[in-house]
This record gives sequence, structure tokens and C-alpha cells, in this order.
Amino acid sequence: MGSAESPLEMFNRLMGAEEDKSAVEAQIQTLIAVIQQSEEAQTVTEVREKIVETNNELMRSHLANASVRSGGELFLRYITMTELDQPRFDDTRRVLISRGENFLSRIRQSLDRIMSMALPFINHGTRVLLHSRSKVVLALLKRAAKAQLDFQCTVTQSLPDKSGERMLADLQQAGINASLVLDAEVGVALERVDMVLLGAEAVTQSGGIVNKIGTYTVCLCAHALNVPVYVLAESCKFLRAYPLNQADLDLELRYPASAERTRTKSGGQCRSPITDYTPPQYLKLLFTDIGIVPPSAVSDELTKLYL
Amino acid sequence: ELKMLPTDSKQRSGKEKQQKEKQSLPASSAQEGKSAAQLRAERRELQERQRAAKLQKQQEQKQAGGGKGGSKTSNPSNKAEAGSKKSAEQKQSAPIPTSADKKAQSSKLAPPGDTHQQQQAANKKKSPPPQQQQQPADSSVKSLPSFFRHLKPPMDAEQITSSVYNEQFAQSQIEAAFVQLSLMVAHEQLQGPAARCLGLARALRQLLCTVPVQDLPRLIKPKLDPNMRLLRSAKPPTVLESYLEQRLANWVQSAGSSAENSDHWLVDRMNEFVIEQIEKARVTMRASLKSKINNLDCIMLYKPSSLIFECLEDIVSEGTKMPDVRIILLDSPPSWEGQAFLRRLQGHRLLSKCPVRYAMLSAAPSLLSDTSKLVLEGQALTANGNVLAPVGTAYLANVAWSHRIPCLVLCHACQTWDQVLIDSVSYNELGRVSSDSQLCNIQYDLTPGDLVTALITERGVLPCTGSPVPSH
Repeated sequence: MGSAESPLEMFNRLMGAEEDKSAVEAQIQTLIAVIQQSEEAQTVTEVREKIVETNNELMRSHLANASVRSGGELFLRYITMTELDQPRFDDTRRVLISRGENFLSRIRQSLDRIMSMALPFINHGTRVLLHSRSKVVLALLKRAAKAQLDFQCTVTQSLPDKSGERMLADLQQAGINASLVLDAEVGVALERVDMVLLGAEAVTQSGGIVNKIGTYTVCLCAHALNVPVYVLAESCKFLRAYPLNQADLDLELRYPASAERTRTKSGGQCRSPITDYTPPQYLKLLFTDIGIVPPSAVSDELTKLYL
Repeated sequence: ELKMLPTDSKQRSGKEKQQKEKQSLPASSAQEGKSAAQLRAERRELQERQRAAKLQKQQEQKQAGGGKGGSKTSNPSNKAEAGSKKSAEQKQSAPIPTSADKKAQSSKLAPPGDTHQQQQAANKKKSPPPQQQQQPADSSVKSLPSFFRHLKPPMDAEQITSSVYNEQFAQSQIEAAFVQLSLMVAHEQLQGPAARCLGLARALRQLLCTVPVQDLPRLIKPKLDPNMRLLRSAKPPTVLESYLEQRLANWVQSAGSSAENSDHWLVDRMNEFVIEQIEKARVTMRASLKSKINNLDCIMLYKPSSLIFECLEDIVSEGTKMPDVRIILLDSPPSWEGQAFLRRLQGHRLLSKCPVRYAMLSAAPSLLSDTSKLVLEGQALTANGNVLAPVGTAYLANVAWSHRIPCLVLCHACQTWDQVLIDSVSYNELGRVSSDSQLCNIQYDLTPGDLVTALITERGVLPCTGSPVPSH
């Protein structure tokens, strides 16, 4: 990080530099750099304040999503949960940074772990419904394609940003048999699929997920038609929130600040949220790097993570 | 302090009780020069006489058209009088008071000695088998549906008094505090899940003060047993009470030699328990509940206790602008507890400005379209993830589910039960009814866990499938 670059700028740069960069990864890299650069902080409390400040700033980026909030909290807990009492603060700082890098490498490995757990669920002839664009789901399907499995994908268009079309292109590029359906066509399409595969922006304490708008509708229809819904989510997305219903979902998660800005710029008065909350009763299983968990066990796992 | 809400109690008037006592013979004359068996036989005879007299009285009253209606409001004041009389008589060292309150038998009256050791009924979580000497008083028992016949019918004051006599005669010592508690429990004067546990803690504190510290591990069980038996006979124990008893047994067992313990170590432990597990937990639960209630919310309440009242207080007294919260308060017969809550709301300076709608439970479906969330209080969390709560809760949770209204249940972590319940029938309590009523006054019902959106405990907001395990 250059001396003139703010954390927000660094975050945006990292996100833009790589295709499909995980927001949490970029955030952790930014935070490690912040710790390194914070020479004026001479106590752990000051470092912690700086991190919290940076997290709030990053949440305002248009490239950030809900996972940034949980990632930041978990990072803070992880790096401070160790022997920090060193004679000189520079040593403490080094300990914090090495813990941070440890955390980062664990995040980088989480994707592989999830894929190894979820791969057995995809066999020859499996028909999958996907919603919007998920990096983890894409990685899993690419791995399945490499394993020479013969399966079919149906992707929803996912308005308003039509991210489903981007997902379709990526799948087709990987040689996967994929087709696009309208968001309104989901009920019809569910007749022709065996399972629904979703990513998640955040996993809440109730066992439900926060994901791109339209997810709730897909899950409701799938539940009514007895199609299982599987979610792929890294453990750094486990968020300490408990929404009771859609109205109870945090505004910050529902409308990331930047979303409002881009919308009003284009002149539209659109007040649709860009994420929604899916309650746990519509989800079958969650594939995470800490194991395959049913939604009812998420609360326990979350407590363990945050302890 | 115990939170006692005035209820419409179905007890007889104080006058009648006192009349009954005057009829019974003083026991002092029987104590000299006769063997234990003879004395017991005499005692039993006396009881039969009393019972016959009572039945006769009941029939007379039925014929007279029941003079009980008007006496209900005078009961709380009479109870207070009776209570003060009891405490006054404790101080007397004279053998036996011949008049008014036989209930005030203190431990000085019975000769100190060993008592027969019995199984600690406290560890059983089901209602104990009915004792042979207590017969169901009311004709309502016969009117019970067959699947509720296994439930113990409620006891009233006379039956408790005669149990006290039996115990005393069997040479066990009953603390006045326990007698008072049993009477309060039998007359349903302790509302709310924690009230009975707090009452038990208070009674235990008094009991423990009478036992010298060095004899504690040896004497505590025989001292406690007859008292707990009396309490059990009034009503089956709540989860919190069972939990307290269990902890007490653990503490006594794990206690080291008496030399390392201070004089009041057991009382201290118990106070700590009450503060940590009940009072501090309430503070945390209030804060969690408050965080879940937003501006412009309309909250539906059913059988709320002081916990919810305090939370509402917190909400309205925060900040200069009062958040716009509306309340729908549901109530149901026969106890109509909501009325007391309503009066409390109206008596509060800020809460009285809060719009409150008071309706019967069966009106819930028509009111739910206006509601944001339903807040309930649970009695216990079963091991298989269901919620035992005051009767009517299951119905309400079902209706709320069908209207997609989130349902919040408040529960202490130590209200987790290791019992598995799948219906509302196998475990339940029968409440009091007036003797000419055929009402089957069931107290609890079981709400399936999947109807509950969130469980608010002092451990945080949790889904109803994961039960919070209290630390031991």
C-alpha cells in the first residue's frame, strides 16, 4: 500500500485487479496492510480501533458486500486471540500480522475444502438450478466438469444487474451445459431440476442466508416443490445477526451504500433491495469449510467461531 | 423480591378457614402418655371428621347458592393478615396455639429427632404419585377427560394444613416459610416462570439458617425432604425449581470439609445462583428483546410477566422521543391475568400513553394482520426442542405462523429441561377451580419448536432447535 493510498482505494484496487476476487480476501489484505502502516498506534486497543474504522470505510465501497462485515469481525477476533503481551509493541504488531496472514491463508484454503465436500453431490445426469452469480458455485461446477461429470445447469437471469447472464457465459466457457431462464420462470424451471445450488453473502445466526435478491423466491418455490436447496458458504461469512423476517434485515445488508448511489445516479427511483433473507426452514444443508451443517446447527458453529 | 400479581383466586374466604381451625382439637392433649401408633390413629380419626365436616359444608353452600363470589377481593388482604399472624406466632415458645392459625407450626413444636429417610422426590421431574391421605376435593375430577386423569388435582388450604399435620406428627419439622410457600403456590399467587423459583430460594434460605454449618452435609437432606414433599404436594415443580434443587444437592455433595467453608456458604451460593441465573439473566434478556423491537412495531402479548413489562419500560423511557410502539394484549379465562398487566400499563407514566388493545385470545386471528411480532414467555424448553408455555400459547403460535408473524419466546437458559415431550398431555398441571365448576383448568401446553422464530435467552437470540445448556 502506497503512503498516499487509503484503505478504501487499496481495497478497490485489489478487487479490480483480479477476476472474481473474494471481497473478504481483499479486505483482509487491506487490514493487514493497515496494521503494518499504523506506526502511531502503540497499544492493541488503538490497532483494534483502526481496524474497526477501516471496516466501516470498506463497507461503503461499491465492490463490498455483506461478507465484509462478518469477515472483519472474525478477523479481529482471530488476531487478538493469542498471547499478545510482548516487551515491545513492534513485536506485538508482528504477532498480529502473522496471525492475520494465518487467517488469510485459511480463507484461501476454504474454497478447496468446500469443493471437496460438495463434489460428491454432483453426479452424472444431475440437473442443477443456480441463482445469480456465485464464485464458489462456479468453482465447484468447473471442478465437476473437469472430473468429466455430465450434468446440466439452469441459471436465472437475476435482475436488476443481470449477473446470471455473466454466470451463463462463464459456465459455457468451461464447457458446461447451461441455459438461462427468466426470474419469473423459476417455478416452471424447478420441475426440471434435481437440486438448487446457491452461494451466500452472509449466513445468519438463525441458520438462514442473506443472498442476492430473488433467492428467497427461489427457495420458497423449491420448498413447495420438494427440491432440496444446498448452500455453499465459507465460514468467514457467518454473521452475528438474527433477522426475524425481511423487514428485520439490517438496512446495511439490504442496501449497501454504494448501491443507492449508483441507482440515483442513473436517475431511477428504484428502492428495491439488492439482497434478501432466506429463513432456515427452506435450506437443506450448508457446505462450509468447517463441515457440512444443517441450518439448525449454524447457531452452535457460529458461537464456536466467535468464541 | 417475589412479584405477586393479584389474581382472582378461587379460595374460600379467610373467615371460613378460621372457623375450620376452631373445630379441630388441640394436639397437646394427645401428646402425653400415648404411643406413637395410637396418636397416629387418633390423628387420622380427627382428619376424617374434619373431612366429613367439610363435605357437609360444601353441600350446604351449594344449596345456599354459593356465597363465594363476593369474597374474592377480600382474600389478598386476609392472606396478608394470616401471614403476619403466622410470623408472630413463630416467636412463641408455648406448646400449641389453640385458636386461629394452626398453620404457624414452627420447628420448635415438634420434638427434634431423626426423621425417616425417604427418596429425594426432588430429582424426579414428573408429578409425584398422589399421597394416600389426600383425596381429591372437588367433583371436577370426575369431569376430567380420561386423558387428563393422571394429573394431580389441585390442593387447597385445608389439604395443605393436614399434610403439615401429618408431617409434623411423623416427627419431621416443617418450616413456616415452606408452609407459606406451599399455600401461595396452591392458591396460584405466584405468577411468572421465575416467581416460584424465587419463592423456593427464599424459603430455602430460611431453612438453611436453622441448620448449623458443620452439620449441614448430614442434616440438609433429612431437613429438606419433608419440606419439599409438602411443596410438591401443592404443585409439581417447575423446571427452575428442579434446577435449583439439583444445584443445591450438587453443592452439598461437592462441599469440602466444613472447616474451609464460611458460615453461610450455602446461602451465599444460593444467592449467587439467584443473582446470576435469574436476575442478571433477566437484564440481558430485556436488552435482547429491546433490540428486536423496532419503531412502529405492534407487539402482541399473551400472559406477559414483569420481564416484558420492564422491557417495555426500557423502550419507552429511552431517549426524548418515545418510539411508536403499539401493544395488543390477549387474555383468557379462567384467570384473566392480562387484566393485572393492563392495570400496570395504565398506571405507568409513560406506558399509559402507549396504545393498548385488550382482547380475548380467540380474537387473535382478526388482530394478527395488524401485528409485527408476537412475544411469549416459555415455562420450559424440552429436550426435543419444543416449548412448554402457559395454555393458549400453542394456539397463538400456530395462528401467528399461518399469518407469517415472527414469534419470539423468552426463556432463561436454566429453563432447559432434559425431558422429551411430544404432546401437552403427558406432563401438565391442573389449576384451581371453584368447587361447583366443572372446568378442566389445564395450565400448560406444548408449542412445537418450528413455530418459534427466535428464542431469547441470556445467551443471546437463538433458534429453537439449539437449546442453550446452562453451565454447571
